[in-house]
Amino acid sequence: MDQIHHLFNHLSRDVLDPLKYDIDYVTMSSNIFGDLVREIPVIKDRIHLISPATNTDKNFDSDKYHNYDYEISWISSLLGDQTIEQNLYAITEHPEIYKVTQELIGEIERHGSLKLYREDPQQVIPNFARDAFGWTMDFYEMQLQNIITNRQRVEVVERLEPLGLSLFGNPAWRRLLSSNGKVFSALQPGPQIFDHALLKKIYDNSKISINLPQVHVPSDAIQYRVVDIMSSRSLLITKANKTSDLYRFFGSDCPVPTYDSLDEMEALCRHFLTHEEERRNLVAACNALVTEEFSFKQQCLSLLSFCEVSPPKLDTLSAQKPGRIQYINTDQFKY
Amino acid sequence: MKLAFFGFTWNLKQILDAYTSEIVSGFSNIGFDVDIYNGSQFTNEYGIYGFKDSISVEKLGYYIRTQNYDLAISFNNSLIIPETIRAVNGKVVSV
Repeated sequence: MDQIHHLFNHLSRDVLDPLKYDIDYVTMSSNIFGDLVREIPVIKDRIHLISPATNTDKNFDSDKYHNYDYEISWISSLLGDQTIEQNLYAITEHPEIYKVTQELIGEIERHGSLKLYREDPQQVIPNFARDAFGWTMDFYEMQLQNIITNRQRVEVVERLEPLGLSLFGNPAWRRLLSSNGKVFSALQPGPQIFDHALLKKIYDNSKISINLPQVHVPSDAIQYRVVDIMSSRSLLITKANKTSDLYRFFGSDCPVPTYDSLDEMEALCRHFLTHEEERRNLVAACNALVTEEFSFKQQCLSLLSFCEVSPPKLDTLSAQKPGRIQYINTDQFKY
Repeated sequence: MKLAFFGFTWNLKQILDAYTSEIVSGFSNIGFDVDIYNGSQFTNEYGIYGFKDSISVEKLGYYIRTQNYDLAISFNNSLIIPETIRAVNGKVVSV
């Protein structure tokens, strides 16, 4: 879960309600951990913080003459579905709503959220999102944050395509093919990738892989892809944040290069594409940090311990016969 | 041992993303049989809210109870409702 408004609630619109059951909860973000303990104090004995995981098996040698397929790779989704487009279209039909929306987008560009704006008693947030679309203000804010994230992502492509960016995206990027030549050039054809091994293969064949978190993602959180890239042949370049979970999980001296602005991101890419030995040394330092502790197997064992299920002895795991995996057909639950 | 996985899919193919798939595989590799319930197929608004009128919560709860799950793992609170929590033999954890 990268944002609290992505949580399911099958019974109401209050995303916090399902967090009040007498079950254990797990988060991979110290921001969310803190927020939930503040909002629901009784949860503090039932919530656990764990790190994202990856496949820690190194499937590559340290051949310094390795031929990389990609100078820079970026696996990134353009956010939203037709909902954003349809509602932006509706907004353009109402000049007063259009004006307020522009103002709120500016606020998110400056502060990342509408938190300060909403706390200011001088500001009155109109109820049009609720009245026109049935959205909560939180949900509307997330839609606006998605717009900013999308704009940043397009800017990244425009900046890095001349440096050899290969973009592996979701189908939503295709909406830009007719209007943006750099997206057309950087986007790699083919289906969206759902196979983790293929994601790792891309990282292992990239000199640099970048990470640009979504605007609405809690600022301290790190994503699965961060750990993926740190365990690969590629050099991770990610957004700077002194209180990031990156340092909580990998130590205060974690060597991942970081940027404050897209100017800095571009400069770092230019630097490491022309300083191969420095790049390779940083990759080796990052590889050494991603130990077995960050493996999917270890994450599963942690979840089992929260469920108070005794895991099999670690030394016998490799000898276990894999269990069956099946999707349950939802249709059988119809009236 | 048997595990219920309450996941979600935000893609047209309705398959788990790369990371939740790896976690499911991880449990399988430890020796668990894993049943995947796609919570996205049960919602009726914005992919995360409500319950489809056409689906019976009672049937879902009954089915889960008959499967004798040792535990259930939910992602993003998918299918975390009293009927499913009660129906799982073991503990439920939501990630």
